[in-house]
Amino acid sequence: MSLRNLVWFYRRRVRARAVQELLALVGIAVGVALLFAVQVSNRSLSASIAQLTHGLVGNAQLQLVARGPQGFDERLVGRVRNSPGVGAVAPMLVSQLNVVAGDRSRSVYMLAGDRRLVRLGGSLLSGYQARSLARLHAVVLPLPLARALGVRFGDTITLQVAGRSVEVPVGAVVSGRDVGPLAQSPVVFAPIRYAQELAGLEGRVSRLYVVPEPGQADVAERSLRRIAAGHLTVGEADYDRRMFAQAARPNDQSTALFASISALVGFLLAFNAMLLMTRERRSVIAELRISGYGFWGVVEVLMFDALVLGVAASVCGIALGDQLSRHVFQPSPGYLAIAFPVGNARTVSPEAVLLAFGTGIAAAMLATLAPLVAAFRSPTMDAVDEDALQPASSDGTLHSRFWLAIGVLGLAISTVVLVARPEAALVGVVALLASMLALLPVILSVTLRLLDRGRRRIASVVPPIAVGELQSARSRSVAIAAIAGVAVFGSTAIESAHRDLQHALDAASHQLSAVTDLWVSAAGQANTLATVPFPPSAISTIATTPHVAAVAAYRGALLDVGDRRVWVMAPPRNSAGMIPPNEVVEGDLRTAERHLDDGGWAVVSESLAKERDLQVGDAFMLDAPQSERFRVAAITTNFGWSPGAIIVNADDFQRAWGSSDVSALQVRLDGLSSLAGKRAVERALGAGSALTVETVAEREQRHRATTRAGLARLTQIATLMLTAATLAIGAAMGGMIWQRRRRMAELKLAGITQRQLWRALMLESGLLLGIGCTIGALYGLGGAQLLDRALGSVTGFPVDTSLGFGVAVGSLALVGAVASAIVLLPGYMAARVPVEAAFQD
Amino acid sequence: MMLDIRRLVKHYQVPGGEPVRAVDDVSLSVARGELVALYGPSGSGKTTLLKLIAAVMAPDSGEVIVAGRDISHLTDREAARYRLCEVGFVLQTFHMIAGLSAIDNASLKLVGTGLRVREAHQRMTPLLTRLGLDERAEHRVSTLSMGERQRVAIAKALSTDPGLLLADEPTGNLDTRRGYEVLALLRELCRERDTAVLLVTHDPQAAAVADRALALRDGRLVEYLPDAPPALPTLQPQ
Repeated sequence: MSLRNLVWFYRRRVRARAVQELLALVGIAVGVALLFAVQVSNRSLSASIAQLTHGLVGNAQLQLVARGPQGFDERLVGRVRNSPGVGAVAPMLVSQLNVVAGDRSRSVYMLAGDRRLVRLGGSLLSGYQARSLARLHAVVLPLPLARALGVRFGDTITLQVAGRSVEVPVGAVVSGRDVGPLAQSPVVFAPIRYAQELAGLEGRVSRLYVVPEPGQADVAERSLRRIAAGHLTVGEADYDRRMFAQAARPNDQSTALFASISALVGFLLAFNAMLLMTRERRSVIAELRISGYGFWGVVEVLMFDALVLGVAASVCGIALGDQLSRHVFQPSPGYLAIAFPVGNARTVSPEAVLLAFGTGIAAAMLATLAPLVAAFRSPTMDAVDEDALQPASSDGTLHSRFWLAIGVLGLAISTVVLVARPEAALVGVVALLASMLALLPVILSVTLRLLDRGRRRIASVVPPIAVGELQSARSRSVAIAAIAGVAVFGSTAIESAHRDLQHALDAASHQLSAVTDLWVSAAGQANTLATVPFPPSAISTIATTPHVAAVAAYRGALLDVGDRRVWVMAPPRNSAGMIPPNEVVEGDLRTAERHLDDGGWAVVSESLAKERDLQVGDAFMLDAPQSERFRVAAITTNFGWSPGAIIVNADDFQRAWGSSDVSALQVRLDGLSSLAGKRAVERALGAGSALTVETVAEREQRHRATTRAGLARLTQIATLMLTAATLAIGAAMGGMIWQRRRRMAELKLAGITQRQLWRALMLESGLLLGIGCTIGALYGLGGAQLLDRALGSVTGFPVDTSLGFGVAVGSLALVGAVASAIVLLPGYMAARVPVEAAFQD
Repeated sequence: MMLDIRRLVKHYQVPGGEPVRAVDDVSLSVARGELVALYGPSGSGKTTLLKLIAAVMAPDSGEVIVAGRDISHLTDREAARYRLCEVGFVLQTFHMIAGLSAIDNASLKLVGTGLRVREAHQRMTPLLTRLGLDERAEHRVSTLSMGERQRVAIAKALSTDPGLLLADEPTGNLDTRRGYEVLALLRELCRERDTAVLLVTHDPQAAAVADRALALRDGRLVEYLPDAPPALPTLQPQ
């Protein structure tokens, strides 16, 4: 058939069934939007780091990286430059600091370099003048950061760095036009000499990018390793990207799991929306068959139909998803911002667009096949009859048994996984979901059969109409119940697991924080884990403050170990609670604390221990600035820091890092409340201090805020999935009801009142949603148990397992209530159909 | 008289045009047990007349007396009750609930009167047997043939034992033979049950089974003049 004829057919049908076509489009668009939004937000964080790394390093292939915040001697730069195989070098100083302007502040990374960095040819600095950077005696702020702080070119801002406050002028404000996506990152730029002065790190650099001579990469790397001498790390130029990928992996994996659940919901929504059009398509098929079209002719017409709808709906869905990803699913760096300069740039990858687009079209195409197969199985005249349904097939019982078997098998697999192989929890979740979808038609059938028996004892037309209508459109009823079921399943499982995880992280944070009365640390949100060092000069000031009983030095840092940016905690010796008791996975707590106190022992998190094949008592070398040998005192969870954690005592840390700097001070009070003590210490430090004094409660609150930001995506996915599912259910049911207006008119002609019809519609919706949501909630409880295990094994975070009953009931009630509310309007309008409609052709 | 229509008028106002005289001063009576066939081309006002008798719309003037009561200005609730108990409808298309059985669909009106489904089924069984549907009563309507579905529709229309049956092109979807079967059945049932039947149709066979045949033209009742006598098919005993 020619394209012109196909278009003519399509236009004719759309005019006749515009409302149904629109509903189908909305359903598919919602599914596509959900999928697209999750994909975009999921990939934006890693894309942000990848852009930053690639854009900065340009042609550099290797780098020399300091293992501590103190950096390394910049005289090494000349040595490296003159080493065999090395073509060009560019030093960079990286410092974590807090920028303050008035009452606003932001945690940022200061990236400092000179003209050599610009000459590396990185795309981000390509628009920047090398000479202008060298001349500056000020800092450069990206435009979004300047706006957030409310400052402009020429203003003065305060940098809180290394425990000091320094006033600096804003030398320039750069936009995306100057520095590309780097403008979205939490960074400030400065000339390296000026930055060294600001950070108190004169003559030090953090890393050195190296461009090898052509074909001399191996020689250059050998040169770097010789110079590093085991005190510095030699890595590829995009080393940070790999570190970030490792750190973000648990987040990505858990989000991917939840995104796949939401993708399944999205696909079901789209598929279900197409089922709305089944009857219309059957009559089109019949019309074509009567007109002499063969199988392939009909396929051509229907595929064109599905293609147009799929494309239109996918485009609308992607546009909607784009808005969702901007306003609802904003990429949140969360806890990752503690260790990486990750921004909130939104990255739309071609894969995300293609996946969303493909899903919309696939749903439209697949849903078209059902009426096609049905129509070609039945005689031509039956296809013309709008009420005709497929007669119960003789092998219907066989199909039921098949799905029953699949359902039971899925349950069995998930139970085995839960009990015996928790590390394969993802398989269990998929099996559970498959089991639910397989059993749903069987459960719906049995329930309707029971209701059918029950209604015979009732003297009302409401139950027969409701049950009869549900039995009439079985496949559509199953599809709607499946959407409700999957949405409630996903929401219950995700939200329960999220709460369990959050609860455990809160408990870990409490155990880490509640070891003293006050914490004093470098200011800045990104210093949540107390990893930013400062000179210990404040100890004497605080120690002489009235009511301060003791001040102890706490040290901590982020250390790159293999592919992991590990959190190293170094509590003071002889302090209480050096190891949070609930987090010990292997080893004896008291023995481990004694060992830690003695020195030369370390507590290692599980994933790190597994990766290095370490057991309690084993020895290992910690590649800190000074490599030190430690023995494993105990194995713990990772305290919510996914790359892993290590605990040593503060003295061992000082030796290994070769610095007396501290990263926090633990203050014990005597006869004073925490808040009063906090005020006293703040007074002692003075108004211009760059140190923050926090009570335990405040510190815990900050921890919680960070972990909540990191886990917020899970709640967003669960919420959006519920919202989308609810809207789609409402649209599908509304469409289903609307299509029945003619039949309702006939019922009214037979004397059935509007009120009775309305009640029948509400009963029908209630039954369908009740069955779907209840099954979803029950399965969701099982899913939550599996996800708890999955999160535990994937993230290495501590997880508390709970039943999640409240979340299940909440999700069930929410979907049921909102979807019913949405159906109210089309139901009410459909029930008001004029009796005259029964006479219309 | 079961149905007595007196000087019934219904005009439609078309925006920017002349009023359409859908029913124009029509007077008509149908006695109990009588079958009246009403012919007319499309747009002649047949369906409007049926709607007026069904209390779906109110006339501009005139009266529709059914069993001695004027039903032309009933409230919605009264109209629903009237359609439930006093009048039955058989239409060309039958939008039944596909998920219910034949007997369930046929019993819907009875259940609407307050009977339990079980009792309604008991009441319907003899009628379905009379209509030759006894063996198909528990089958879903989606598995029935078109002729069988039309018989279910007739059973439903007669389920509350109404005095008046209105049929709008009941043979429109059936072939000649099945159409004649349905007409003959209507004829027999209306005599057996003493029901007045007003049959709106294009089918020339209807005149042969009707007690009287009338025609509507431009909203006015006129004498029915068949072009040619219909050739009736020979019915085989079932």
